[in-house]
Amino acid sequence: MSSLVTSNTTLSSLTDEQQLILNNVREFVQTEVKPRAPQIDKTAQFPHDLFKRCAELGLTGLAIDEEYGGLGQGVLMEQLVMEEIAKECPVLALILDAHLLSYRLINHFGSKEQKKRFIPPTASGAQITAMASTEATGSTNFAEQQPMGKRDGDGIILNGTKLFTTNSDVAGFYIVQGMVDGEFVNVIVEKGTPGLETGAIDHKLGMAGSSTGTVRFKNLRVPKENILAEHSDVQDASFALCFLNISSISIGLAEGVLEKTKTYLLNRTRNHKPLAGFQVVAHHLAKMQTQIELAKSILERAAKLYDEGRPDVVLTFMTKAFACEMAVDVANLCIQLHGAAGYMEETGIARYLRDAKCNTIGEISTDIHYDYIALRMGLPIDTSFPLFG
Amino acid sequence: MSKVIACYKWVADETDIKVNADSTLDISKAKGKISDYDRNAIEAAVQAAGALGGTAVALTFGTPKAKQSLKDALSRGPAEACYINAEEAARADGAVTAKALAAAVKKIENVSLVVCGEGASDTYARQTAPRIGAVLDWPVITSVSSVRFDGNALIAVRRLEDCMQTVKSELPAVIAVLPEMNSAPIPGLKAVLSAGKKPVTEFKAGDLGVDFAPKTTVSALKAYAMNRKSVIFSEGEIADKVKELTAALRKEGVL
Repeated sequence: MSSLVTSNTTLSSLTDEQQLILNNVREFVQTEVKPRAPQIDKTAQFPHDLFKRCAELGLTGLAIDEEYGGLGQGVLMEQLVMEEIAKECPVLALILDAHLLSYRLINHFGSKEQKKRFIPPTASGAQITAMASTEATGSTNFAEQQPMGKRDGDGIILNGTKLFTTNSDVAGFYIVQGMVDGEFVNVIVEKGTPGLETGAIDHKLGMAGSSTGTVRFKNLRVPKENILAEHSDVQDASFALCFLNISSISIGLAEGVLEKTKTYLLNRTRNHKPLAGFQVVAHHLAKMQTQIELAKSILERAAKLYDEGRPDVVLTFMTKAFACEMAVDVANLCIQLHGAAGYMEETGIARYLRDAKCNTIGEISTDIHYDYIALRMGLPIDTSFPLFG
Repeated sequence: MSKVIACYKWVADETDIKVNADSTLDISKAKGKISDYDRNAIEAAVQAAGALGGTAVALTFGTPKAKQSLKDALSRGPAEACYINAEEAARADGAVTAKALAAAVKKIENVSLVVCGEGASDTYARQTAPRIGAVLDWPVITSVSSVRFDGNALIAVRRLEDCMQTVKSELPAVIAVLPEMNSAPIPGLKAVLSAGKKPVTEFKAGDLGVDFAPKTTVSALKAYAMNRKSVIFSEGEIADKVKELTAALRKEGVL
């Protein structure tokens, strides 16, 4: 555990209860998650046991309103919990992120009845949830995607395929996003609905175990009760919160791999001196710690703005772009500093780099974030961004 | 309704303790935590209260710093907490600690069982339970690995050095539990958030009529050092080297 003063600065603003929650999450991660992490990576099996434990501890409902069975903790608290989990098992944090992403969309777009029906099982963890959004064409530009269905009376008939869906074969229900009759819609598709199929699980570079895969719809009828309010503005602050979660995962990941690297370099010697005592190595470690603290600072600022009710979406994009690229750089350098040991899977360091790479692409890639930031800076770049215009 | 008391100690987290160059310990930056085995004691008390139809009460004797432990203790299941707030706790020995806790047990009233951890994470003196029993004149059972109740009797299984011993005692009694007693689960977040709503009774040192003067004093506190002698037996045949090694180990008192 790091003894750096900076690690405590963030936490000093927390209440006793929040500090206690973090202590308990840390204990859960160290005693139950850490021993399982290498196995999850190796087998790529969804960690049902750990998700169940997260639900028992209340982590699946941490950020969800108390009205719907959650704990009503703020955005900052959610980020700190994600960070703690990602230090040892980034994929478990990613699974929770995907789960909470569905909640955010229902909470933002859903009617009172839809919230009452779908949010409590999300908060309790009784149902795992997933968001199905990506298609073979169009990507983040939904208007460019193939129509995924058509209106049928007061319902919608879905036909199409969604790719790269996290929690794809374990979800109790999906939030499906896409174009219907020229409009962008969000609908809820429940497991067991006729016409719903899940495909094979993708073999990924990292984040193994998150059950990323294909979801197909064949003449699947979505009743009107499962159609969320029509909304073309996906850049809303609620949706952008997922970028903070991904940032937290990257920051936690970087902290985790740096801590392990520091320990290794304090114990590995050359000429009877610890490698960490060599200036070139020490500077690498110090620079990485600085990068992590920078990412934590921008994340904390963005999260607090949410908690204060004045979210800054651009800052959220900046946070994800910076934190996720930073984590790749840190994990990469940590492997280098381990030498051959870092290249071996058995030491558990390489996994961090494979996992880190996911977050510079997942949800929205770093380049799209920079496009959006550039656009907001008033730069004369291609402005064909129906999604973020 | 009878009460089951879980005694616990707020100790420095050993992972934060630094060893100085002169082998003295720097605990200035160490965060506090509930002593490891005392978490098992709290869980055992909660389970015992459930079995006896009573209420579990967390009890600690500590300096003002120990106040921050109350929500943690209460999140682990007890319905209420009592806190003996005394600066004297910093210098207390086993006798003082036991007297203070026993005095609080008397004030709480209607106590059927006191549960302690077998030993504290910091000193592991294993003094508290036996001494509380002596002060209260209640039966004491230490090294308890499991327990069940039969009416007003407690049946405990003790893990001793070479056997398991089952003993029966009338209540009230004092027990010291081993970590194998239960898993001391990590409290859920909901339990943490509701802990602050549970009642806490604070006793001041003067409320208990206890002489807090310790009979023992700590003259030094140092980390023990493991200095390798780095002896290599390189000459002769293997059998000779083994003989030399065993002789050296006998000389050191290892064998």
